[in-house]
Amino acid sequence: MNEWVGEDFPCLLIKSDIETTNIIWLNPFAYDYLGLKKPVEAKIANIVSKASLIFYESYIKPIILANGKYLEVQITLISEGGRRVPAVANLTLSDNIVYWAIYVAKERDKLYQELLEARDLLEKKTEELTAVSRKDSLTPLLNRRAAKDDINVLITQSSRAFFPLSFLLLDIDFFKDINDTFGHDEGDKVLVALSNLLLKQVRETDVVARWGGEEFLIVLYNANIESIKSFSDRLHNAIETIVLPNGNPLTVSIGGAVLEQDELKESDVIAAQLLKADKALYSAKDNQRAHTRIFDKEKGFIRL
Amino acid sequence: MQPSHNVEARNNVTIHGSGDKVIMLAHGFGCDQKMWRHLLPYLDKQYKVILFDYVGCGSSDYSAYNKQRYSTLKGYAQDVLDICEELSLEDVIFVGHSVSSMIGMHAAIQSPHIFSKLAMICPSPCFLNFPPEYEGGFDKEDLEELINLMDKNYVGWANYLAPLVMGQDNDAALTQELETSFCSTDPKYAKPFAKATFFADDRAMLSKLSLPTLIVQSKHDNLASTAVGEYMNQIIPNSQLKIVDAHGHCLHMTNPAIVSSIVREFVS
Repeated sequence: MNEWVGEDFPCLLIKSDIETTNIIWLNPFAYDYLGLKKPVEAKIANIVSKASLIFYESYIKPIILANGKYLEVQITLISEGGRRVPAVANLTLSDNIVYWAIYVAKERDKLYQELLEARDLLEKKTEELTAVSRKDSLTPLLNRRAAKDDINVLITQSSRAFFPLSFLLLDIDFFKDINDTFGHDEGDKVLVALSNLLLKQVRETDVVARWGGEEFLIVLYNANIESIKSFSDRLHNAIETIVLPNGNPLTVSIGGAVLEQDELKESDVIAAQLLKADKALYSAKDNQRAHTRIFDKEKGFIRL
Repeated sequence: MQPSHNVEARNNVTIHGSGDKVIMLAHGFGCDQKMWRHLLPYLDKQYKVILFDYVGCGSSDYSAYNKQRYSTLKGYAQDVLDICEELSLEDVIFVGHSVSSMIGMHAAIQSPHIFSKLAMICPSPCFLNFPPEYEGGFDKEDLEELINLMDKNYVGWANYLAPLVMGQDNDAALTQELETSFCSTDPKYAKPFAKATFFADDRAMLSKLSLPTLIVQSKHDNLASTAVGEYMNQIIPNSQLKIVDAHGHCLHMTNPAIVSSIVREFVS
């Protein structure tokens, strides 16, 4: 008992064997707090929670083996009577002995728990706000800004390992007449119906957005002219199933452009592709509408 | 056309030594490929050794992180397969530590033609208890506490919260943290890995593993008991079990000489 004289520090001091995790020495406070009897035959596994043990094996031990120390790590102690107590430990390693200095940290743990909850709430709010800020106000599609973000991600991927991207601008034929004849509510219904249809027709990797009033942008992932053709055939057919109040089917005109590898160097890739797609769209509009045209560098406009 | 540094950079692939046989060392939950630095000197004179970091660990490309993909071990197994494909690897001897043993099993069952042998260091197909027939060692509450502890032990709080509020990229801050520690508890990446690791139950897959499999278990391991090793050895059709008289869950760090000789014997 003599060794204990003059030692009354209110913290747990422990020495353990790095290999066997046997506890080889404790200060009096640690004895009392952990409810251990002499001689001690406990291992680290007996004085910390199972979760703390996983943390010890996955983080603490590798880190002290590499760096010789790990400071301010939170663990859960199993104290006298099996109570679980949050605690903070500083550990150092020397000659295969781990030196633990542990203080009980109930209050600090409460603070951290509150911080965690605040963070989770913040994360949730951020997620919700991000989702709202990306959506078009009327339809379930992406808005212009979100579409640009997503397309830029695709462009970056394509510049790392090239795959073609197809830009399609879609414009509802005679939309002004629809609004004027049937009213704006009906016009809005058409926009929503078409948006839902577009979402069904594209793959998850494609980008589809409401680009302007009655104009939509679709960027097809890894698609060349042949795949645009089969996609646009399907699309025109599907769109005709949307019927206007006067019984006429809805039609759209589409202008497209395929992003070539050398065009990835352009300063504004999206703007350059949209310019080509827009030209093709106007060419389709000027030629009886209700079909798709692709802008091609060599062949000019190709009617699909 | 296809820049070859793509997957290599994403997974921070490093290639060591040379030899006819290819050994791929896959780190477990918690740390990164630096875990292998003790074992590497025993292997790289004889074999071509491939090291890598899973996306979300070590010096991988964090911009390639996909929450959905990396919420199950299959997503991590895809990293392994991507690397093998990128480097055109064949007859790979896959050595996985802890959860990487199971990741290797997923990869080997999905694409058996890529691998020739599978070595598992301190594996467990399931950390959860399912009494009375299976004792993984932990109850659900233990593992939930672990997730909570990881949160509380994340040192980069300010780094983590700032981008959440400001909408900035936190890669730079993360890189800085990694310079000082090779184990990251950044909740964004480490928590999904922890959940994928500790809530997995891959016991039903063991019988589908046809490759010659080596199970190296530590006699006193707090995370994976020898009983778990024996259980696996019974079910995997073509397996052998070696129990090393040692302590702890990081045999490859603490007992590299023994582990390397067992692995070398298994390889040849």
